[in-house]
Amino acid sequence: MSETTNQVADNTITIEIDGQAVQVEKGSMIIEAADKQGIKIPRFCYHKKLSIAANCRMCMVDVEKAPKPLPACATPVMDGMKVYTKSKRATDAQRNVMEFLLINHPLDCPICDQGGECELQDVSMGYGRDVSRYVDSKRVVKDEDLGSLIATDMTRCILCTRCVRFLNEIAGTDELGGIGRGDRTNISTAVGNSVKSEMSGNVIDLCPVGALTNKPFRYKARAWELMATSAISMHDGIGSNLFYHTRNGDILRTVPQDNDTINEAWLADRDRYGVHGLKAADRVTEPMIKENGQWRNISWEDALATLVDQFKKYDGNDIALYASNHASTEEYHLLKQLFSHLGSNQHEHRIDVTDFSVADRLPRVDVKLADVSKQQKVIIVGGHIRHEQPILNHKIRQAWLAGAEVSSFGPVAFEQTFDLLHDFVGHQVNWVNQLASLAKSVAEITKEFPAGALGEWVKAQKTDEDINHLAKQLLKPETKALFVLGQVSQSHPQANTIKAITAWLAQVTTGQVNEVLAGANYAGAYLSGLHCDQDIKQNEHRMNVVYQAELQDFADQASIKNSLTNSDFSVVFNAFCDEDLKSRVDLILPIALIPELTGTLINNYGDHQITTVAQKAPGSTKPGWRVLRVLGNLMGYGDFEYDDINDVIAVTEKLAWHDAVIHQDVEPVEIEVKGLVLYPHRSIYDTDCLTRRSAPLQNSPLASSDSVYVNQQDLPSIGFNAGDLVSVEQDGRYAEVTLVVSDEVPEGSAMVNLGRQSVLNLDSSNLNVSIIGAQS
Amino acid sequence: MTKVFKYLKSLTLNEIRKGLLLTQKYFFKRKFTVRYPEEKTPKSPRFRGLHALRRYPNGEERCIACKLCEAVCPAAAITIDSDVREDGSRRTTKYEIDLFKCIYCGFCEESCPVDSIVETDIHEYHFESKGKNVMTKEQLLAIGDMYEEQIANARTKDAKYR
Repeated sequence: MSETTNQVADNTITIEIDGQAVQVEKGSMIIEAADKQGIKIPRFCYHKKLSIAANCRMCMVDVEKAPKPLPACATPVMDGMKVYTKSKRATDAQRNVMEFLLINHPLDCPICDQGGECELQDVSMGYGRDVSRYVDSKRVVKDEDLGSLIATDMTRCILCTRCVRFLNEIAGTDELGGIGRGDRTNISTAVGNSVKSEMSGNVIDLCPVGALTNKPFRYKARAWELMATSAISMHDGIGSNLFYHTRNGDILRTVPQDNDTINEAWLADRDRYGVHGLKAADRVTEPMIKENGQWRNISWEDALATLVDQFKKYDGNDIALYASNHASTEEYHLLKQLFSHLGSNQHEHRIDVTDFSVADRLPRVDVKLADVSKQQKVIIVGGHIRHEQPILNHKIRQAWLAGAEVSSFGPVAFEQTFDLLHDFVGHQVNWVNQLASLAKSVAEITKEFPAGALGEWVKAQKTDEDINHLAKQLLKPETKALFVLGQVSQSHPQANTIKAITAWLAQVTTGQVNEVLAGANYAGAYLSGLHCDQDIKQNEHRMNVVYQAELQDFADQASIKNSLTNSDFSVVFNAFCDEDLKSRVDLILPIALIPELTGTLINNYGDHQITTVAQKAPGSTKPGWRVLRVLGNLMGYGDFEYDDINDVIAVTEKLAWHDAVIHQDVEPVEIEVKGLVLYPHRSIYDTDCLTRRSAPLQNSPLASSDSVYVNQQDLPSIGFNAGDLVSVEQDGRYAEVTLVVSDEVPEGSAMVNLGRQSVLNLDSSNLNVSIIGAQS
Repeated sequence: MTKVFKYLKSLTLNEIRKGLLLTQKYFFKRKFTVRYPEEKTPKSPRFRGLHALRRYPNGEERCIACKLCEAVCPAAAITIDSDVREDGSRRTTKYEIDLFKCIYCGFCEESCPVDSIVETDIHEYHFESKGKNVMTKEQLLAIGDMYEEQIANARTKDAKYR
């Protein structure tokens, strides 16, 4: 006890700020101590998550015995230090700095979008002079075009460099920098580039003035008119905490909500701008039924009565359910309850998975999100983490900055925000073989091979110098490795083999495994039991239920199209319905999306988080749980008597993450490579119905295109040139796309963007494709 | 005794005589009554009547959608929607004043950084149907166009006191 007390005492010292004694850690800055005590010191360049620049000079404080006022953000505390933030010397310094900052800052607050939430405005009111003494002309800076997400008024910039530091330190893409000297300095991109970071939107929140503002929100509303609703992001398994800002019931923008264990103070662009898809033109607002090939609106009563008739017509296992991973846990729970009563186990939420050889497999997540940044070795197995879970990528980058070694296996040499120790790139068959050869190399050192068929397959691989080097690194006992299984391996046709090898590697090297799960609520759907114990596609169904999913969400788009067309009756519970889906179904029921409902989302790491209604759903759209509850009543099931959402939450909050069972008894399949190997890539803004419809995201540089990407080396054998319109052929099915040459794609690989309308005919589980001339 | 005395005094009609004398006095004095609407009282340049939105001499509307008037309005009578205009400038897409809610306090005029929203000295107006009490942006601009000279004069007269 006394020892720990001493340790605490050793690490902390006491200083005095404005007469109040503050206990702070050694080495911290005066501003941190003041923040801890709740004493306000004005600042622009200081931000708790960024490095210290001390270039705005606004946080001047008076320190006893110091000859001049000192910047609080860059002055370390010392034992017995006496700081005065409101003495004449301190306030004089602050007022004079304020006057200098305002010399070049335009006084056009009325037309500035930051007006009302501007740090410069606030600080100038609190610490500046009443009137401006400056009469000469002001500096004018040329505006930058930073794309469809960020609006700029660079004349307003006060050169605090928060945006520069954010992109350097957090986003890891040195895309902005200071150019010029003295009062000619301006913040600029490198010659005409735009900002392409997947986290770029955070510079809007960081900018203390109106230089960088939210473009889709530009001039829409003032800060004081907005209502903030605390909610959870629906675009990835991180479950970023955020606020939707609404005016008159419409969501106008999204800002992050601090949560140190999840998204810290950041928000990925997908979470920030995804919400702009809510009002897309193909939103369904009334229940609709197809009669004799014609669609007409019907009432909810009639729609549900029709649905009840249909449910009663078929045997349980004749009815199949396909649910996406971005609905609330309550909806999944009620769906499971409904299907149990119907007597059907034909329900599947893993619609983007192609390998079902090991059924009912709990995803493995060993390391909590906040602890990822403390890892010393990270192996990314098949994934573009940066685009799958941008916040996870940020944590891996933090680990890398602290000295971790990161290596990657994957089908594309993805652009990373950290340096890779080894980057093993090969087409979809090749990189898995390389992973197996890593297992071989490890096994050769430890003299212990995996058991069974997996061991035989591993033995058959060839190793090389790089693989052996990584194997040796992995076996160093001092540091544990974290294997991150990205989305590419989750939806790979050999997913279970990849998982078995990784599990074996983790076991031998005392490492840990984290799987990156699809959607915002994979865990909720999984824990509710919405998976099928075999490949649901193997069975024929007479009735289909599609829940909050579109054709683009499926891995095997060819077969879902077939089963929807060939069944007797298909019903869709969706917020959106495009013509392609409409032509294949019989009944459409409009249900609300996550920003429009209250419910639980369970993130990738097992955290239950409750999101609340920010905006009323349009037309007669209803929250899914209400529809399912009424449906349960109409079916005559007794256990659907929920009074409100809290009754359902009371059930779902008991769902808990448990330890995964590791399956190593897989039969690895050799995939025969004939021509090119297909890599269906799920691009960052093609993940769900909202991102696909969000105009700002789709106009940004990271948006996908209708293209097939191949390596330069393959061009002669393909026989077409870059820019040609070609067809990707797969078993007599075609996808018409533009041929693009990319260095990032390895030889023998053909990458297409899954989620684009153009590739809706392809089946992700079939890797063999060829490129032929355009068919139309 | 007093009661009897009062009764006897009332018989002299003294009160009526005094009243008539007062009437007679005012009958010959100068008259203050204004024969409205033929005659009108002079108004201060600060008179706060019907609202108007002004334009610059080149025809550009002054309002920049800063929403200060909307924020300052104590009766919440002003509703503004703003957006980016085609040329990239900040403009209102809707500017409405509900004249039933308005208390004519003049805060909107005072808060306006570009002298766009003003209160004219027009005080004679009426609405013939429900809903007409909400003045739209077009109506407010039209009033501004119509009375610009008068508005400008009033502002000039008052300028030295601002």
